[in-house]
Parts: sequence; C-alpha cells; structure tokens
Amino acid sequence: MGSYVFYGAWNPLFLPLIWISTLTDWFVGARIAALEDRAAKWRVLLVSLTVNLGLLGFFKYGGFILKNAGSALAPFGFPSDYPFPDIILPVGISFYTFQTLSYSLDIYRGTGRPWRSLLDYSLYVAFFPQLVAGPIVRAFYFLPQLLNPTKVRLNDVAWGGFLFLLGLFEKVALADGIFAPAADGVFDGPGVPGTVQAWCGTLAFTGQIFCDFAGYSTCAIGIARCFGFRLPVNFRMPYAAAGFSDFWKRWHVSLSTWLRDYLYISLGGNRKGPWRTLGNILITMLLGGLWHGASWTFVAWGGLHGLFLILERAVKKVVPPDSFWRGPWMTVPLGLATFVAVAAAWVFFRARSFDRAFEILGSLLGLGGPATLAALPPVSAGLVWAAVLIILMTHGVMRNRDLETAAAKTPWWGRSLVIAGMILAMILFSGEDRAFIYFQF
Amino acid sequence: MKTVHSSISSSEETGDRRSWGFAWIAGLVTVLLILGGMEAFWRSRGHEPSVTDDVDLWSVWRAEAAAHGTKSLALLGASRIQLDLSAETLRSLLPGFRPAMLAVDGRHPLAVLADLAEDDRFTGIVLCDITAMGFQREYRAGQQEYVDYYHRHSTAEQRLNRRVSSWFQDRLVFLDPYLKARRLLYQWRRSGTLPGLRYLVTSADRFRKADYGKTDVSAQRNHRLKRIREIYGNDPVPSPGEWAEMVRELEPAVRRIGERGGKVVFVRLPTTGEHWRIDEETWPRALYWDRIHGLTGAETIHFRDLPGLEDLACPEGSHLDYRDSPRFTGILVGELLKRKIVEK
Repeated sequence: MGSYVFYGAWNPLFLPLIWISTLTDWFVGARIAALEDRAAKWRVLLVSLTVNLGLLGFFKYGGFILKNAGSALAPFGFPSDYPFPDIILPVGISFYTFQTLSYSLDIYRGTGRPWRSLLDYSLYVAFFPQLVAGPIVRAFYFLPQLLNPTKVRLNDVAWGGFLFLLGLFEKVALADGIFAPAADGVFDGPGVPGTVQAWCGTLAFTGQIFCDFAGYSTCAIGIARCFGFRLPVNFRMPYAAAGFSDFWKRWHVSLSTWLRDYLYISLGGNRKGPWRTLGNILITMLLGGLWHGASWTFVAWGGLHGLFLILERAVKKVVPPDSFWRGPWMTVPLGLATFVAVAAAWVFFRARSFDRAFEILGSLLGLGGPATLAALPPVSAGLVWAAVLIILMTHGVMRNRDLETAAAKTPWWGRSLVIAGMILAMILFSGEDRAFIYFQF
Repeated sequence: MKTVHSSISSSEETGDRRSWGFAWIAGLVTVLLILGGMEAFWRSRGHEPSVTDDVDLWSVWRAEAAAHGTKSLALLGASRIQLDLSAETLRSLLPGFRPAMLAVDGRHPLAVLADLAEDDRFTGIVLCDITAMGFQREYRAGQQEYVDYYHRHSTAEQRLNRRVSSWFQDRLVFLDPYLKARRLLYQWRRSGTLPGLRYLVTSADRFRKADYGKTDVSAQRNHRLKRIREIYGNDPVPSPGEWAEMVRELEPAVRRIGERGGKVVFVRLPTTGEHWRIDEETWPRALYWDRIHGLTGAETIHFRDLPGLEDLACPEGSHLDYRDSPRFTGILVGELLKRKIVEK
C-alpha cells in the first residue's frame, strides 16, 4: 500500500498501469507453468510481451513512431502529420515493465516458478525505493526475501542510511550543484563552444549523468536496506572501466544484464557465428539506447557503444591474451581511453539534436571553428574539472573494492567526517531543484 | 577470470553497531555545530532569511487559491503587489481570508486571471495589480508559463516538497542561494569580499520586503526611469478605442468569477515622482484606467483615489519600502471594506 501511495502522490491516474502490468504477468506466469506444450507457453508469453511492450510503446514511443512514420510516408504521397495526444510519460514505466517481463520470461525459460502470493508479487513490482528509476530487480532475486519476515537491524539502518545519504550527496551536491549548470551552459547555450569549453561541458555531463543515476540507485538500495531488503548493485565504479565490455559490467548493471539475458541471448547471443554475434551486439545496444528515450540521438548513443564493443572484440581477437598490451600496466591508460570515449558518446545522449551533437563533437576535436558561446564562469569550470578528477580517482582506487567493507574498515571518526562532509556539501552546493534524469526514462 | 566486485555491498560486514552509532551521532553533531556557526555569522552581518521564488513555489500558492472557497484572496500582478502589500497587516485586518500571492516579477498578470476564471474551484476574490498598459493583448501570455507548469507538471508531492524547503528557507539564513558556496566563490574571486546585504527578501508566502536603506536608491531610480522610458518608447500606445476593445475581452472572465460568488478588483498601485509623471503622460488615466470598470464590470481602485497616501513616496519611484507597506495595506483594506468588496 505504501508503495502505491508513493507512486500515486506523483500521479494517481497512472496507478492502473502498474496494476495491469502486475496482474498480467502474475496470471501469465501461472498459466505458463501450468502448460506443458512449448508452443502454448509461447502463446501465453506473447500476452505478457504484448501488454507490457504495448503499454511502453504507446506511452513512451507512440508520438515518436507516428512522427517518424509520417516522415517516412510523406515522399509516397501520404500525410506527413499524424497527431498523437500530448500524454505525460508515466514515471517508472520503463523499469517496472522490464521487471514484470523478466518474471514471465524466467518462468517461460524454466529458471523460475510462479510465486504463490499475489501480495508479495505486487510488492515486488511496486516496491517504492526502486519503482520509479531502478535498479531493475529480478523477481527471483527479490521474492525469496519475502519468505521470512524481514528484521530491521540497527546495522542495516546505519548502513542503509549511509547509502541514502551518499546517493543524495551525489545527486544534490554533485549532479545538480556542480555539474548541471556547466553541462546546461555548454549544451543548451547559444553558440559554438571552444575546445576546452566543449570538454568541460562534456565532462560535466559525464559527471552529472553518473551522479544523478547512480545517486538514485544508491538511495534506493539504501532505503531498501533500512527496511531489511537487499537490492542488486547498479553501478560498480564505471569510470574506472578498462574497455567497453568492462564498462557495461559496471554501468547500469541491472539494465545491461537484463538486455544481455533477455534480448542478446534470445537473439542468439554468440552462438550463431561471428557475424550474427556482431549483429546481435549492435541490435541490443541500439535497442538499449532507444530504451532511454524516444529520440534518434539515444539510438545513436546506443549504436556508438555497440560499435565500441564490436571494435573491442576485433582488437581482442588480434591481440593475444599473453601480449604486452593486455598486461596489468595497461589498466590505467586503457581506463582513461575508455573514459574519454564514453564521455564523447554522452554527447549524443545529452544534445537536443544531431546538429548540436556534431557541433559539440567538432569542438571536442578542435574542428569547431571560432568559439561563439559565452565562456563558462571560471568558478563553474574549476568545480567541474576538480569534481571529475575526484570521481575518476575514487573510481580508480575503489575499482575492485567493496564500499561496505571499506566503510567497515574505516574508524568511526572517519565515517563521521564523511557523513558530516556530505551533509554540509549538500547544503552548501545544492543548486536548483531538478528531477532525476532517469525519471524521464 | 576477473571478478568485478560490488561497489556498494556484497558483504555482511557493516562495522559493529556501536561504531556506526558513534559515526552518525558525531557526524550529525558536527553538522549542527558548523551550521549553527554559519547561521550566527551571517545574522551577525545583518543577513536575513530569503526564500527561492520559482514556479514550484508559485504552484503551491496557486493550489492554495483554489482551496479556500470564498475566503480565498488571490493576489495577482507583478513586483509591486509583492512589495507594496504587507502579509502581516493583511492577515491581521482580514483574519478570515487566506491570501495567495500569485504575482510574478516583471510579467503582466492576465493569464492568471483567465486561469482562475476557468477554475470552478476558485470562488474567492481577485486583487489584480495592473496598469492600463498591461491590458494589451500582447501581454496576456506574460505569466502563462506559470499557469501551464501548474496544470501540466506540478504534483502534490512536488508542492509538499517545496512547502517543506520554503519553511526551512524562511527561517535559516544559510539556506539562501545568495549565500551558497558557488555564489561565495564567485564573489570572493571577483572582489575578495563576502556578499553584501540585499535590499530585497522573499518570504515563503511569496510576499517580498524591500529595504531601500540597504541600496543605492538614486541609482535604482535612474535605472527604473531609463527602463520605463525605453518600454514606453518601444511600445506604441493604442488609441483609447483600440485599447477599450482589448479590455472588453476580459468581461467574460470577470463575469464568470462573479457568477461563482467571487469578485475581481483591478488595482493601480503607487508610482510616484517622475515615474508617475511619465506614466500619466503616456497613459492618461482619464482616457484609459478610468474606463476599466465600465468595460469589464470589475471593481477598480486607483492609488490616487485613496485617502491618506499624499505623503507616501516610492523611494525609487515604483515600489514601496517595507516600512511603508503596512500603512498602505491598511488603507487599501480599508477601501475594500468600505466598498464591501470584502467583509470581515
């Protein structure tokens, strides 16, 4: 009930969508398990796919599809304008539809069994900490936690509270307070940025998107922990990734593993020959990009990462595993190269149009011509460079370490200083109120 | 095969209970001590709390305007009504009424009037600060952005969030964005000093107080006169006939609010000295303002008709100092009571 009240506080009109998705997969899961015939199971699974992807498609991509259909059909004499109602995107729809889908898909594949309690299952779908922006939790990770009454332990509350505070700090002080003003200034400002300014704006968004999204995930994991629940880790120091496959093992892990398990593998994964494998990677990444929003710039971002992954596979084939170039001393330069490529790819994610994206990319490469965009205030630019450097160093140091263990090994006064520092930074550096970026996905 | 470790938690180890307890308590005590010190420091330098005024806070008060039936007093307009009226005086003289400040600095208010007219939940009184110029069609959408935000994006949860943050900002100086770290760094880099005192502070109820003792009044006056000359110079004044056509278009909105038991009052708030001279020269009252009642059916109040304001002066020509706003509010409320527009 609490989760529904939480969601309804935003817009109660969209609560029925959660109920439809919940009930559909609840019944679909039970029906699939009851059937013996594979084809019959598939037909039932289609109901879940149709309902969930239909809801997602209508609310998130309806206008986009019609607009592009109009553009495609216009040259053949068809009308170019197909009006679509101006509907608000229901917050969290991309997240909870993927959760409910995973439940039916797991039962279809035989890796999960239908859950008896509809109440438990409803809590899984609507669990308020992660309902609106993830992590995308798998049913059979969460539901078993409901078998025994959860005990709220003081240590869980202390650690969960710490994670919640850390997430808020990332969002309020870093994403909104330091990064967003610089990113907005460069991406939305009128004029062409100079090279240094373009890098500053791009790095600002690189920091903003991480602190915004990882901040929300960390808050969600922290709140859940306070109630005695475990949610899966969603970010593992992604800017310390050495290579793109490593990046996707660290960035939005709950989505990347979802896409791997239910899309890439369903397409055949790497089992159908090298060319199909490359195609499957590209399709997965393009659709992963589209998941983020109804715009071709998101698709381009996904496609770029697909190309990065393909390139990485090609290089790995050429360079033998025992080569000098695969030694541990390559981790830092490879990590920095990965970071620069990932940051450049964010340009497509952030820019409002392809024209603007290419303008910024041109400036990044020093090909943008004379700068006409007003310079960022030195304080703003200085804060961005310093914060990005700190994030990179933190990710590098914590690359293969566990935060909880590191915190436990830190003396109590060290932890208290971190707690005080984060609260003070939130108060002193907070910018204007901004919704989490991933709410729009 | 390499293992990627969890970056948040994979271990049961969270440190012992007692050490976490110490960490949290010591951390929170440290925060309280530092913030207490900061609060004392800024107050000792004469700073006052001030609230961030934005569309979310406006939406809080827009929702309020529709929530109190006939006791709702919606205050529309721009900066003048925010500065010239005293919230405390208004509340003490009209204790049954719930003022909702819906003015937006620098923008003409008729989009909000149209919105209230469309909203059947609004059955209260509209006090609309406006000049004859503001009735022109091209200015009608001045505050539409706020109206659209309220209807399309504002949620109960956001408004609650804004209420809570405003409540704190209304009481704590260090929460003022003017005194946040980024602003301090800018100021320090530019002049090596801390921010000076501001003459304007905003309360959580969106009323504002102007203390002209804290600013260079002469510079403000010159700036304002230059600005008003530019505005009047760039904007040709319509003939009284053309203007009357535009004003007449508001009659349905006024009637609609009236049919629900509400009232609309257009108020011309004070401008004085050279500012008033230019206003009157450009938009002669007899040709424009005095016709509004006949064209719309709404009540009108012109500051020049109010008794007891002869010695009242706007320091920079266009707004009252906070020391004068209680007296002006008292006189204005007296007029509203006298004409039975409001009843105690």
